[in-house]
Amino acid sequence: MVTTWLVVGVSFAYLGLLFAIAFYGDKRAEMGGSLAANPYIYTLSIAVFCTSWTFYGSVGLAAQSGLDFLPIYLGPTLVFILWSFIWIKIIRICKVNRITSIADFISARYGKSTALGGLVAIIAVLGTMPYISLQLKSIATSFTLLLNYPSVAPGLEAGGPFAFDTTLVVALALAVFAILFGTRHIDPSEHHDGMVAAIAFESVVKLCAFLAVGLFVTYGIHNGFTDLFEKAAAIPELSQNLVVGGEGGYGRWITMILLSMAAIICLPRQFHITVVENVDESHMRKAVWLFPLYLLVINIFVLPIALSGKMLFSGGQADADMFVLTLPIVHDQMALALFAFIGGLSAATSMVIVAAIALSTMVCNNLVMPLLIHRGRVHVREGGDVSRLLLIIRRTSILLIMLLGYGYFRIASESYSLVTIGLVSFAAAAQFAPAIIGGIFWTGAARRGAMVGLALGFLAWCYTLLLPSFAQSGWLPISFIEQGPWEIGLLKPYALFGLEGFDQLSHALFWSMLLNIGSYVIISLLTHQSPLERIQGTLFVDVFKHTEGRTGSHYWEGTVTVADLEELVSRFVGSARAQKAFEEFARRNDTVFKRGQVADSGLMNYAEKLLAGAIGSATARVMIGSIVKGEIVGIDEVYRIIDETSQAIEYSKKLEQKSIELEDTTRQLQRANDRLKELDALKDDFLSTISHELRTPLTSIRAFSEILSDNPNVPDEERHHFLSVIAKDSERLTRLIDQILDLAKMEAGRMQWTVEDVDPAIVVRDTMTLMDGLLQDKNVDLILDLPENLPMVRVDRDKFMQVLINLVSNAVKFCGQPEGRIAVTLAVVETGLQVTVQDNGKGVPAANRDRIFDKFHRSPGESNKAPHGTGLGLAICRQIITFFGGRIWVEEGDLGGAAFSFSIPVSRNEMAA
Amino acid sequence: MKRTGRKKEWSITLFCFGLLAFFPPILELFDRPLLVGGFPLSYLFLFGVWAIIILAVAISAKKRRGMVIPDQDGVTAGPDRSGES
Amino acid sequence: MSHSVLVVEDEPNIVLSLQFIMKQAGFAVRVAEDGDKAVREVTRKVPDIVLLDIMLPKTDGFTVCETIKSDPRCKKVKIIMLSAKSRDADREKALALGADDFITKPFSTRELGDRVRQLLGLTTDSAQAS
Repeated sequence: MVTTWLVVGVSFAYLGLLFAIAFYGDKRAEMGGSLAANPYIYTLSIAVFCTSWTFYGSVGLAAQSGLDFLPIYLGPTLVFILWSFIWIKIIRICKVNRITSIADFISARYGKSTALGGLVAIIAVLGTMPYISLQLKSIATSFTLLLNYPSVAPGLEAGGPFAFDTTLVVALALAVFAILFGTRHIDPSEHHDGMVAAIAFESVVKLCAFLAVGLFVTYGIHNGFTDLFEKAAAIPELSQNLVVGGEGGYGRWITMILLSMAAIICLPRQFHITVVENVDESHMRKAVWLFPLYLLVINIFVLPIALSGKMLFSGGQADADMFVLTLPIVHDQMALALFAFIGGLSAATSMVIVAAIALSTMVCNNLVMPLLIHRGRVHVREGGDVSRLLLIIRRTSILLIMLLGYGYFRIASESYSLVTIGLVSFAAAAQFAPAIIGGIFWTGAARRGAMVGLALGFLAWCYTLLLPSFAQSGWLPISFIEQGPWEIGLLKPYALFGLEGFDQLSHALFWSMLLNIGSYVIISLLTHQSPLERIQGTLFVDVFKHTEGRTGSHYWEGTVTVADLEELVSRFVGSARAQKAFEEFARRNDTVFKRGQVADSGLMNYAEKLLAGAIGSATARVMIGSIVKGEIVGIDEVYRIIDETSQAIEYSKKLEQKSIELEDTTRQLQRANDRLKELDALKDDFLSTISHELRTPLTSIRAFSEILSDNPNVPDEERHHFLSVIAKDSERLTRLIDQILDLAKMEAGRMQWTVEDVDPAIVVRDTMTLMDGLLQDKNVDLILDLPENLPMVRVDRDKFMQVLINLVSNAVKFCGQPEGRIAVTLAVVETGLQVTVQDNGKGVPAANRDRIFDKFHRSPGESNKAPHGTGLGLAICRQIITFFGGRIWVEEGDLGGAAFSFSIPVSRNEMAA
Repeated sequence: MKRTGRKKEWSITLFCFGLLAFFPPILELFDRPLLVGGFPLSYLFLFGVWAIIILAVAISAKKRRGMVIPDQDGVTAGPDRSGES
Repeated sequence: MSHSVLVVEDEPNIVLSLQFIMKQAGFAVRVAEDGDKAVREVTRKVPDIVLLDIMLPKTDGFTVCETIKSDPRCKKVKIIMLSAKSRDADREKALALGADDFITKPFSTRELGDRVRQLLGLTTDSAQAS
């Protein structure tokens, strides 16, 4: 007989040790030497799958029906064969999308649906409740048994007030423990290095304890396996325990394999430990065979212990669930019994800790926070520290989860065996399987399908498993089971719609899965996916395509320019804000961005964050990802995503207003986009024209240079002519380049201007003096009309002159032949000073009068060969005059030809005078 | 197992093998109340197949030099993005 | 016998250079300054080869090329298009319309000579000398 204080002392010492390990693990992780970053620790932590159910319950089940305990471990083994299809994919998806729980996973997959996340959290909590009660029950029972055996018959003591206390105390102690473990601080990645290390340690303890008991039973009490099995085979009642398919056939066996396949993926704590706590995908390579091996080893002695127990207590006076403990006690091995108790404790605590952390994360992130935000109680955007609030929510939810487990224990668990309780939880978790598995392989799976499937499956589970367990414990009238509610026979929960002949589990699973999968598939096929759902779907199903060739969450570099990014961001936040934000980023990083420059990953992450503020992180990622790969989402798609996004975060009132702005912006952007397309075509033409204009003089320069160098015997006269052509065309080329540069400078606003008050009469006279030579050459008559007392104009003198030269030389070029006449007239008009240059040439057809000022415009009749014009002169004139604040135009003149006029404002000083 | 580089096919085959062995009717063949060498036949069969599967998975999951995790993804490749809009 | 070449080009300096090069190579040279004139010249007396600019006044080089190539009398006429437009699209269009060659300006006089001789199936001895 051991004393209470010894057991309590050892238990707390054990828990203290666990805490120390966790503490050390966290410290190591902070210093960069993470314990969890190790495939063996990872594998052992996955062994959290083995709980009290395995430690105590398997033996109980084996004692009752032989090898039926095995499917729970064969199923996971089968799933792990497909690790690279399932596990690596889920892990990659979670890493890429920063998913931290199963609720997050399902909600993210189906278009970031908050409602779906909440539903999953509720199902997870209610579904885990029996599982936690199982752990509480095992700890309380084993504790009582260890202290009192054989004075209180195990399994029957629950009625006493002491047992009531024990279970509640255990529940509260575990709650405190889980709170200390999992919610010391909030870590955005939800990595709990210390916890993982402690869980791994617990896996070692429970394995060693179980093997110790097994070895003792097999080799201590009996003479090895063969001796034990032969003795058992000799007893007729025990022959049932040596096979799988006893009286019940194989129905339940098959159900349990399928169920456990689903459970290893869908149990919240398995998902958490295997996926969320995974630090390196390659660790899976070890876990994939080591974990099944762990399961195999821990199961080797289950049957021997069960058989040995049955032989010892042939009258059935001992609770088979506790054979692991009673066998050492009966044989006076108190140290071993204590070790076994600690093993059971470790099995139970590991499950409770991980489940509590996983569930509290879900309850907090997917249930409580959305509700608080919806009610306007939390304003995340206004800054302020919400992490304290998060901690409080998580701690409270851990306490509530434990109390729920305790409540279930009080209401329903006492009369059930451990495995029966556990399977109820498995069946609940299995409801997630269609949504998860479908979600990673089928892009067409839709949010409504998942929602309805989950809800119906969950209701069916409640009706066929949860409620009947209340009825059997007397909390509901037993007639509920026997006659059905309101005595409607078709509604009997264990024989729904008259379906009989199945065991309760298979029956429940049949109906819940039929409803779940059926509505999931059919509604998915019937509904139309929103773009966000479709994008998320593709992102999940094709996760390897999106993440190939990179590690972690970095984007490919070198494929997207700063301008692309800025354009994308401005689609959502407005171009002014986008520009400001980009400038700020450049300033902070002390660089200057050129628009065509390739964006580095820092800038891309920054852009993603900018977007995430407006449209949510997952979508932001999709958007950035899509332009990184050159699949710029079309404007229609953007429009629909904005629409969808505003629905997805409809509880944010602010954003609803913004969506109206965004619609407006989108419409404007659409127009801007059309305009841009036009400009693009124009730019193309312009470049092609420039190229042509530059190549023409280059052609003759090159041709004549080659002719002269290949033919040394060209007569002097011809040589002379050729050389002069080369010189002239070189000049033309220089002029052209100068003008292109001038124009570009002016258009970009980088031209240097020296603006001052200028007397126009003087400028005009100077210009005419300059042009005199040309006029005489061409034998052109000039009429100059310069009134007295012209006002001063405020211009850049040289540019003003340039305009005059351009217009006059144009006039000279186009004036009538052989008697060319041009007139230059200055006059004061309403808008300022007007200068007109006209000739007696053919004039400009009315249709071309607007376009004649465009770059490289040539009127159709005008031949290239005519003047050595560049096609840029008038364009430059227009730029200059516009800069002066005036305007320039062409009309029919008095001389019969064209009349080019421009007006410029007079100087302010002049107006004041 | 021959290293043919067809990992996916191998793991599916192994999975099917597991399903076959753990389900009736194959299971029924070995599920008899007999002792073989002092061990129940069902017990030997289930643990034996289980061990074989673990061994096979261990071999197939062994990291080959120069290979990165999944060279995906012929089986699950979804529709083209462009085909959706 | 000397082959005849029709130079269709509106830029006087380039005409001058082409004229010189072709005469030097022993061709009889005619010149047309715009597209309409080019078509008239070809119909008046069919040349062996046409050097055809694209950007021409009145009718552009593409149209001229198409017109010549669709005329049954001009079956044997070779056309080399000369263009200051270097876009691939122009080259493709020219070749699609039946031009035998496409040369981008500025061109090498030697290469031009070679290509002309090649098209006419003449030996390139004189060119080899360089």
